[in-house]
Amino acid sequence: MEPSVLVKLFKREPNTGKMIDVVGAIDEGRDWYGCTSRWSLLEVARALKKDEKPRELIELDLRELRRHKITLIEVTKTILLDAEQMLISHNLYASDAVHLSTFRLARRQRRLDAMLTDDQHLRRFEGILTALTLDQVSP
Amino acid sequence: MQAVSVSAKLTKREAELLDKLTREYGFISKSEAIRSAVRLYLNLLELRPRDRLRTLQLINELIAPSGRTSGELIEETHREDDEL
Repeated sequence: MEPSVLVKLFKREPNTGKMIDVVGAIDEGRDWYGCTSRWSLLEVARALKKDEKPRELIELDLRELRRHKITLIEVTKTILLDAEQMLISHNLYASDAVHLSTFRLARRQRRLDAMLTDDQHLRRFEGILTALTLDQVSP
Repeated sequence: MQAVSVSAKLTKREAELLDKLTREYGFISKSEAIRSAVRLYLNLLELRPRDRLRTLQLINELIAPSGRTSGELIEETHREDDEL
């Protein structure tokens, strides 16, 4: 899962209800497994801060995220080295490179089907990434 | 019922707000107002996961509503990272 879908959990906009159902399905283990880079928590915190949420609420939102069965993948040296190569070969943000590399490297080991994203520019990387939006899933 | 006492330090602003709300809501004391707040908070955290998320989403939107989408917020965050 890419951070923009995680931020959706704390906003009211299209597909936020579906995102809650996705997390519910992950918690219940009903054919759903969800993971994200540990780096995502920082991006969610920054996005909520930019959205002018008060400190206590941001802390509560992050505690809530950690309470669910979403696996947090460590940002390892291997991921950073792979992200470095992605940055050299493609025109993308450093954070996106970390998420793409996390997905690429975790995909086989964790048998991931796709990256759940709301981020339009990530869909440019169809060859590297199998991306799904919330419109395309039915938890 | 066995009771446990807990003390908490508040900022001047929080203490003033507590004073004001204790009077406005007719709590018999500030301790009673705090007890009520703690019980409500614990009830929220004990809700079933989906209900908890729905409630938290509502709280987020009521306390700090905004017109920016999650996609826009994350995009801004990424741009900041790159500018550093």
